[in-house]
Amino acid sequence: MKKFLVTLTLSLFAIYYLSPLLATFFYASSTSWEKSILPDDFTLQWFVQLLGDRAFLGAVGRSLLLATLMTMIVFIVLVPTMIWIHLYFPRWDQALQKIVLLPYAIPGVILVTALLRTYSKSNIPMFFVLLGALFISMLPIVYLGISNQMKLVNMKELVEAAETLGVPMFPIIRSVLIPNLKVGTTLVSLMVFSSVFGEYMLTNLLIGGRFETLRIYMLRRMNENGHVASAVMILYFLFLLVTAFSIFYFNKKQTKKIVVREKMEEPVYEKLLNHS
Amino acid sequence: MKNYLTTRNLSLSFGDKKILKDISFDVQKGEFVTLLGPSGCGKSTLLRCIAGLEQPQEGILELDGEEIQNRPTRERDIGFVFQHYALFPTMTVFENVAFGLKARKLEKGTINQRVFRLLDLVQLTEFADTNVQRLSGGQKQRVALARALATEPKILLLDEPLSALDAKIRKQLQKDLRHIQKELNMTMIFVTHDQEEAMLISDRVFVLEAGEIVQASSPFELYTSPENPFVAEFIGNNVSFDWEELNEYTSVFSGMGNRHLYYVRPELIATRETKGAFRIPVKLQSVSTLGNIRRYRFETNRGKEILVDRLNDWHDIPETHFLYIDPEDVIVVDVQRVVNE
Repeated sequence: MKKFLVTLTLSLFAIYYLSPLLATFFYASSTSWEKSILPDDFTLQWFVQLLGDRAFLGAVGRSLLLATLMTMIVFIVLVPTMIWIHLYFPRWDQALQKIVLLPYAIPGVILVTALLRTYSKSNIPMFFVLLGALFISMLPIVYLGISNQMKLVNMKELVEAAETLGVPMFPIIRSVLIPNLKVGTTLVSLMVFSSVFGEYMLTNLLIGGRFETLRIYMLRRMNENGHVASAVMILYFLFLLVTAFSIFYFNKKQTKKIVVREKMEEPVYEKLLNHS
Repeated sequence: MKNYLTTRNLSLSFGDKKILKDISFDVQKGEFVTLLGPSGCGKSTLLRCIAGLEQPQEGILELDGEEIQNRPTRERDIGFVFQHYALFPTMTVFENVAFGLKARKLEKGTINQRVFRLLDLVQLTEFADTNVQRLSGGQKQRVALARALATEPKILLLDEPLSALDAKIRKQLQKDLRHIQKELNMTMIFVTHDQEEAMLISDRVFVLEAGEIVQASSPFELYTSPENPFVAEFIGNNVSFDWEELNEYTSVFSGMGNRHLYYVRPELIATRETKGAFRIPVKLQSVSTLGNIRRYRFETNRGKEILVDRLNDWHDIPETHFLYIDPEDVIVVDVQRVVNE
């Protein structure tokens, strides 16, 4: 009975989550769907049309550029800073945990208005202003994600243990920090990438049509053709799915490499054991 | 004997709170010293200062004739064993123990030999290629010990390494630790809040109270000759009397005045009259069995509780009784220090 209830609840959740996606897929695959409860016929023409549209491919490229750049900036600037704070200035952590939540407290329109008033007359290109704004908006995801992972593995103590063994900082980063933060950084990178890839409000209000990303393209096409907009949504979803699987696959492969290395060293242990 | 580790006037504050107050002590080579005290007394902080994991505001630290207080942790040549092991979770037992040696760029053969010698010492050879996350708590702490010893540090610091383990494994590791320390002639400083553990494995015990070392003695001296009321009350069980109270039963201490407190250990209180002993009328309240001893709880006619410990085979305690205390068994402690504070 208990198992049945669990299965039922999970099934209901699955239906709740998957039904909009399935409906979007069917709408994107239908010739027209207006007169009855079922579509008139099925077709892949909207997908074909989309993949042949240079504006679509350009929008994908721009979104990809923005998401990749932002993920890189986060990993080059934010993650090392956070590790530094966690290890050497732990008292700042409590204050920072509150500060990083500010982007949630400031409505997007106010943020954009303030940014436009500040930077529109300056020589700074709006693309860089957008990157800065996105960076700030990613703070809660990155800070809380990495900070929790560091607390989970007790990173401070691991680094201290390595220091007492006389290990210099670079090997500590390579052999202690990176492997132990892998899960957290993978999830954070995925969240940053997908959030920026699908970001609409800041990009649209700050740059708009001058830098048409996938979401801006989708909303423009929605007014013209709902089927095409649905096809964009499905491709967008599939792209993120493939990205997520690729990151997880890459991580798993790295872990396997470590295991294989351990196994390769096994005969050395045995040789020594037999020798002694 | 030459001092191996010397601390002079070590002080550390976090904000307005003084954690360590002017701490000075010496440790000799091959000595096993325990820092003992209640939670929050500063014993772990003191250990972290020696390792360089905390930076004291004042004081000098000397190890093997060299000042080390300004050196970073990785250049101090000090091993450290953490309470919760701090093993690298993505590595095997072998890799954990070898980690410090690899950083020293030793030859692979030397690393292998040294790691296996230590794994043999902590009886974990067959777990060499096991991921440390698959080990039990006791095994993890053995790996942590082997890892800390691998780099052949000048001194090994152990921060409550056994407190997360269950009683049986803890007792075994206490023995193993002492055995390893003697075998390697390693200087060790061990932190614990467990007085029994401290007394069992140490050459000397430093008792800390509120950031100060209040007594540094051998376990025997600590138990038989506490130098202040804190140590007398912190170490073991006792019955304490003030001067007026004691004068009701004996005039031996009448000349000493109320600057002192008087303690008697429960196992030294007799139930039969002995020569020179003074007697206290009491009534038996309860009896409890604590493994190899039985603890009898008496009460005086003024309602004061007196504990008496006897081996388990002692059954002839009548309900109303006199207890006998030899004045020589009374520990007299000066309370002046407490009064000043």
